[in-house]
Amino acid sequence: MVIPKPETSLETPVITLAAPPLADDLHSELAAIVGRDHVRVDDSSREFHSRTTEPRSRRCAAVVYPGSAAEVAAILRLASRRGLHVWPFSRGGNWGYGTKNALAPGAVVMMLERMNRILEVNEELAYAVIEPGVTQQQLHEHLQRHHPGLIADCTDSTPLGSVLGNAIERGYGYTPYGDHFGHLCGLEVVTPGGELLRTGGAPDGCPTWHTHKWGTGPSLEGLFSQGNFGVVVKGGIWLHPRPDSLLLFTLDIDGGEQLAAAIDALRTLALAGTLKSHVHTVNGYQTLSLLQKYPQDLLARGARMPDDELAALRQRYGIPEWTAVGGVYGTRAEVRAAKATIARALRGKGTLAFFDAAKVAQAQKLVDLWRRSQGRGLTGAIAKAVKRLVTRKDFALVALLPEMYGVLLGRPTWSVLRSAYFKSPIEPPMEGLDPARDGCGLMWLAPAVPMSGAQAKTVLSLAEPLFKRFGLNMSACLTMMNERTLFFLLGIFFDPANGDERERAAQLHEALQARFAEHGYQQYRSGIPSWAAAEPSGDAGWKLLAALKQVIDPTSALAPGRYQIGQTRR
Amino acid sequence: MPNTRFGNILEQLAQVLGPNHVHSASADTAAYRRATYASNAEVLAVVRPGNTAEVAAVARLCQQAAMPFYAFSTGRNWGYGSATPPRSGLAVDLGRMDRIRAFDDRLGHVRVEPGVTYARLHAFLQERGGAFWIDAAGSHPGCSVVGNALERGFGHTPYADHAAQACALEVVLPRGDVIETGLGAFGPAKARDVYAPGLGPALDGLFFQSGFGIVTAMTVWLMPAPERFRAFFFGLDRTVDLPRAVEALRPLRLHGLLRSAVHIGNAYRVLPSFTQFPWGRVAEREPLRGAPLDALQQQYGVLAWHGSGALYGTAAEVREGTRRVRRALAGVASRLIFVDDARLALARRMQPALARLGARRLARQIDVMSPAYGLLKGVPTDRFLSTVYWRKRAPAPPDPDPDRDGCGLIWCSVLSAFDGEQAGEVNRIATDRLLEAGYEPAVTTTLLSARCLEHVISISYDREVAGEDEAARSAFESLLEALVAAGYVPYRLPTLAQGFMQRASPAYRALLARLEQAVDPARLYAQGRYTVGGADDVPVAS
Repeated sequence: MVIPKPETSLETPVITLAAPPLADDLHSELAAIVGRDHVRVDDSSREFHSRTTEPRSRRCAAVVYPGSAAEVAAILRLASRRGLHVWPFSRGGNWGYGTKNALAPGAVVMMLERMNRILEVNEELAYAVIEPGVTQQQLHEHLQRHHPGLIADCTDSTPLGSVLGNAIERGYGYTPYGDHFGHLCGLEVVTPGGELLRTGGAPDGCPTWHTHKWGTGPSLEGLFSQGNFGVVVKGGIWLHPRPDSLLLFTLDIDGGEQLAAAIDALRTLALAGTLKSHVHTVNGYQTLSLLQKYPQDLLARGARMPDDELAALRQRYGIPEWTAVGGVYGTRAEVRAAKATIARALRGKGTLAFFDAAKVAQAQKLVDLWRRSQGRGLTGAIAKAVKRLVTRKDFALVALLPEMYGVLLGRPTWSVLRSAYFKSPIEPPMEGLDPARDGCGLMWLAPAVPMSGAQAKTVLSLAEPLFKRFGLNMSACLTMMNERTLFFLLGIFFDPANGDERERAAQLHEALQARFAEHGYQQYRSGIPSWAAAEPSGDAGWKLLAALKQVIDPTSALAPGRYQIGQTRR
Repeated sequence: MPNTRFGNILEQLAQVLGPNHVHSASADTAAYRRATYASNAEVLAVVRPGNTAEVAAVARLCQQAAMPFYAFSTGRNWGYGSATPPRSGLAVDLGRMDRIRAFDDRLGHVRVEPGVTYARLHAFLQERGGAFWIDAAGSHPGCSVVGNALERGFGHTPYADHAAQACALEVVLPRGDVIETGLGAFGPAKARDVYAPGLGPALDGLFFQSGFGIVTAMTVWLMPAPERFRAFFFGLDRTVDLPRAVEALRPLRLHGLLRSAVHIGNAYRVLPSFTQFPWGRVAEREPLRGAPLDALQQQYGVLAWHGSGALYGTAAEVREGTRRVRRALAGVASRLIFVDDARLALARRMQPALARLGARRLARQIDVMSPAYGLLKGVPTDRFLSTVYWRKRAPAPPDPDPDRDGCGLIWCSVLSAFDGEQAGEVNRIATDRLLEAGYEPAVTTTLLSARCLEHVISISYDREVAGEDEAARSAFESLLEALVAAGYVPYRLPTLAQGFMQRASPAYRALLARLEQAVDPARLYAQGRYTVGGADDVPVAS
């Protein structure tokens, strides 16, 4: 296994909270556990691994790469004994939420990427058992090759992201199995005290460990997500059977009233069970960020893109104010029936288009042809063919179609992560994007919202003026998380090289967090910018978590302050 | 109860709750000591708090007085211990807390307290137009919605897994702190009732099947009434046909074509819906089997297995589902029939005529089918409670109460993967062990999720026959032992099987013990109910 060399691209231009390297004796003790090659304390490694996409970065004292659960346990026992703070990361792609930083500088960053085995795939019961280092791409390719009847839901973020890591943070995708934590079942966990246990409490070889979520007695899986009560070193993840038939649909939505109506209709379809995929509805600014760079003149001035300029750019590409994307899964008869039901329900709520496998393949062919023929004068003819055969949209949007269709079948893509480079001077590569490595500025903030059109309008009206006030544009996606819940994902794209813009981004995040909290909209997931900005609540629930932390991790060895657990009130 | 050991806690409780809601006379506590099997635990007094603050006050008073305590919703946990405590102590009856706190008729959820029964909630929703259905366990309309979900009970519709359809728990911790799980932890959260995990660690799981706290309110998601509904019923001719049926239905469940929890019960499970144990035709102390069993099955038209399920959706979806179920069960099941409202009404109209024409068997089958049909639509029924009178000498009274009437019942419920062979093995183990012990192996296999089966095995007996409590308990223990040894762990534990928690790995037990230590250092609340600490009974002053 090759540990990435800290040589590439931009040193992070954000403000860094410094820390010295780990003391020599501790370094030796860590090396005795994992081997010399798997601990880094040199300045360039520490700098590289502390890069973030957020406005502040915390320098770590060391980076350690355990290769097994036993080594994870030994590292935590060492940490308990010697007062170290260990922050575990699967692959560290938690951009926008703190990347792979610890809350305070001077921590030991523990990367689990060497633990990357796919231990089992059960075809009959449709699940895989994997380690935290397994990436979305790896699992996808493994299934393609060996178990083509199964698909794994993926996020639209990096193909090199960890499947387990995302599920533990309760991330989401697009397919009917898009609720990643909801489809985890049966975890192996190293406790902060260095003990290895299995959730569910069942004995070894129990055939229901990966098929029944609750086990016997209290269910502890939830305790190990979004927290600091243990390091998940193995987990079962449910896989979706490859559908007989899949339709991708897009709904082009204009304006707030239509958006509200569309959301209400989508809810009805989901509650009735007709719509099983997690529909994502993105705004025009978000779509634009997938297609081109932020205009250079505005970037240089640190200026917000004026509404009319955004409208003009949208017009050029044929990007509507909002675009909903979803999938229809099932047998051919089911899909045919669902298509009719969906078309009926969404009538008058936007422009609806369906794309089946044949249409998508056609688009892919034309896209390939277009790429090959660049500069040979054929592009005009190809674009015309696309308009006739696929859709009347700009070609750049058509190129996304096969990618999104792939995501609906669990094939990860690099094409959405490109938006993180919207304001970066770097042209994103076709593959291997890494916004933290490349010094991109990005923060996420995502409140959970009851799924209704009226609620969507409310949260939009809370967010929009703040973006304006801080001179930034709102990137937004409303994702149907379950039949009753929307996640309102707000992206703050900023230019970290511009100190003023960077500070405005930080302030905007803080202002959004405060405003949403004040109006009763809590984030579904949070990160260092959130934990650092607000006092822990101090209420009975927070006290319970503190008490649990105290008995499970009395020395605060494991990620103290993560989700504000074990964080002291000022 | 003598007040000496626990100080003047009764007076203090009476001050907080009012004297009408504190009962310590033996006559008043008797009902709380009775289960469908022998329970040794003493109920020192019963309190009936009326709201969350009162529950919290009770918890604090118990901690002050070092009084063990235990809460239940409506106490109808028949076969698992009814209302009886696992250890002697104060019983906290939450039945008075029966408010339906909120109903959202767009998003389809309701916030209920522990005293709200299936019957109440069903009626409540019907009065508001019936746009949403509940999912009811098959036991009784008087069972608590909250209590059943907390024990991870299940029903019949697409919302059958009750724990998976619940969120936002309001919990009184053993020391009296009140918390909310999920987003409600952060004060009034708009998405509290729709998104379960909340922010930070998801704590809901801690309070199901547990002694970590008293749940005083819960949000329950409701299924919108589907455009179309169609039930199906099928039979399997031979005992050994179960694995094939399970295998045939798995793809439908995995692909989402079949969203409801299909239940498949064996002849021993189905016969009690028609009749009682054929005393006189079978030697005393012998289980029903062989020729007398065949005769009884013949008489009532009962096959080796009977399955029920339903399709929910648009007309086209139900049509497609019907086609797929028909195809999956072709050559596997016999007597596959599809029933919708119109067909059932027709059958009901024909029923008297059928009976007159001598087709009594068919008429009776319609009688049994109707409540099963109702459950598939979330309509609670008391029709099946009388089945626990199977081994009684007299038929069930019009107001059946298994605890009062000395019905013996112990549930042995285990999990297997959604796998035909495993289903077959569970059934074989149950059959061998129980027949050997002298009991009928009544089994229901439920296709609860796409990957998991739950097998509910009941031991029915007559508590009024001397020695039967001991014999049934020992049969239960031997059965559970055999199932666990084969890898089938309990899905839910009767109070008499709590020792199972000690079988978890040392690291898992240690973690549970630490959590218990954090929430209840004196180990006073619900000890012995899914807990691992304090294995010994708490000594009681008498």
